[in-house]
Amino acid sequence: MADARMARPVRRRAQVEISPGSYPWRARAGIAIILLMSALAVCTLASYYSLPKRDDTDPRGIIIDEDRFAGIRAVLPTRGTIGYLSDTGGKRQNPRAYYLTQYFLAPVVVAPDTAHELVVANFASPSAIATLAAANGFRVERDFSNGVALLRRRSP
Amino acid sequence: MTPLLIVFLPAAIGFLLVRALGSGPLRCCRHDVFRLILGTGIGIGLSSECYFVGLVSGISGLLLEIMLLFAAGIAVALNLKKASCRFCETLVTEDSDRVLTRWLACAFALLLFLDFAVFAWVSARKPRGGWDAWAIWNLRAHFLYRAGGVAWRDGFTEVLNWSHPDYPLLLPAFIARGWKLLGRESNAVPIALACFFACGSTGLMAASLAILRGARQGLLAGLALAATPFLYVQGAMQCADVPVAFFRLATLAALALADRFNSPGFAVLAGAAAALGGWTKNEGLLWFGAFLLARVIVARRRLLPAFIAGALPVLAPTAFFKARIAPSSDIFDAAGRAGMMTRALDPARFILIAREAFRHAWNFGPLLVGAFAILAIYLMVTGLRRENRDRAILRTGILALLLTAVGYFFVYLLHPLDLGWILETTSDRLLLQLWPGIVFVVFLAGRAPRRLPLRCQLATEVDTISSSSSPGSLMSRCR
Repeated sequence: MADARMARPVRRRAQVEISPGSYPWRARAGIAIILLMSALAVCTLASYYSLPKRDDTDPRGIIIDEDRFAGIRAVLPTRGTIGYLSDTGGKRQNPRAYYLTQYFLAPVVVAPDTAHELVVANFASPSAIATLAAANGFRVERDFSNGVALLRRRSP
Repeated sequence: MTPLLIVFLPAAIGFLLVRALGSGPLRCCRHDVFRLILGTGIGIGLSSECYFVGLVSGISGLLLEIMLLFAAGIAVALNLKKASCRFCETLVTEDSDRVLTRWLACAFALLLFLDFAVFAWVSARKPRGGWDAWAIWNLRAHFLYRAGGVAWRDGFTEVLNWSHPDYPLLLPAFIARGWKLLGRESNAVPIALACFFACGSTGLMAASLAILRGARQGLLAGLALAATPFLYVQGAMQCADVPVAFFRLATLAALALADRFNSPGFAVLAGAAAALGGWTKNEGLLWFGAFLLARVIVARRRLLPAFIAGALPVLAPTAFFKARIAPSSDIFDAAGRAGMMTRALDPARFILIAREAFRHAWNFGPLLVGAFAILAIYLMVTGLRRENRDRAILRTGILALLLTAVGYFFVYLLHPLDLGWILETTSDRLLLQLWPGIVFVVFLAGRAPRRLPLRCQLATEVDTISSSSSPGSLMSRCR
């Protein structure tokens, strides 16, 4: 009986402390890699603040601004195809100026040639419009005094 | 009211569709963030298609959207009795290290804020976006919005071949719809649209992986994508590659959830997302084909009918556009076909494409070290998880990404334009289209950060302990 009492475990105050497990090195390294990637991204993002202000000037001198085309848009037919003439080159030589002209004048289609009754002139030097128009068989229908003009084919 | 309508209607349509087809509780739950991002992306695509169908048929596009909204609302109402969030019911087990989760959440929020700041900065400097934005997408939007009656078809004439009139219309149609609702043209519409797709991609990444792999893995994946400044700069340039990337990620995320929860509804949404990529850009059609093929190879017919059922209604306007309105692509028109065989068999082109692809992948980011290299190192360090319930979607995703990359290779090989120039101007953007999908696959396959099992320290005050409470058994209890 006494042996049995001796064998019975005596339980006093048992305090169990649970400490949170730690992350294995793989997990820690993985988190560090992604945080490092984020830090590198912050440096790259900072470099974008040096981006120049909006670039509305074509390298060949034409100011690319939608307001320049407001006048001609008002007098153009609502639909159809017109030609394109410029003193800075056509579609191949100066695509940006030609593409933006089309962008501003849509839904009128601007073809990259002068084989049309109406032609839009998009010039860097407004004084050259009349001369170049005459050389291509056109007369100036409306000059908007900002390098943009509407040309019409001369009747034979 | 009108700006609200521009934003609210697509978001509501998409959100209700995700709730109706996927799962959703009676009230709000934290997984609604995921539903809202996925739903808004799908809603934008569907609204864009409604506008296009409206133009073709003469029916009001807005009316079609409202009908779609009612249909989605009715579907949600019919499901109300069995409404429940399957994600909440089967949460991913994760040890509760709130400190780390909070730190990661703070880092994620800070980086996302900086990304947004750069997006706003670039947008303020280039409100019309980059070259592609005004020469392709916004130009087409001008035609759709400004031209009345049937004149909008003039925007697809071969005279404008330089502006790729064969490209699908998700962006132009949605922008034109926004301008129509607004009553005037405003750069705010394409900028807001671009902002959603750039920030939404990161949000979708974090939210979907949080459901599939736990909050910490979701945040790490979100950080990896947010640490790609190129995504936000290209987003601000309003190029279509960011929406294409979004829809690829949405396809992977929705099908991963469909597989995990055996949900045909999410497979329908995955099909719709894949098809909307095809309504965004031709590369999206390549992804749709590649993904479908990969899925059939990997999982045969599992959830395939649901995937196709989701894709077909979305593909129908794309098919109509390609068959009846768009001119042929510059690769396959008469000029493109001339000399195609010579180009296909030229070994110098193979070498140039491979070399440039490697160079651009190495410099992709742009971080000090290439983002692909960082991700590869991450995967090597953390390792792959052993237990993998997502094997089918992982294999499908990897195969689909590889097939798409092979598709790009052949497009470059056959392209009639100067190869050096086209590689220089497009490689980074094609990599960007693949990038979110790659990040998703890596973080779905990799091990999530988990603590080692808990250690129990027995205090010295314990004098005697019963045999049934041996340290070993106590340890097992602690675990």
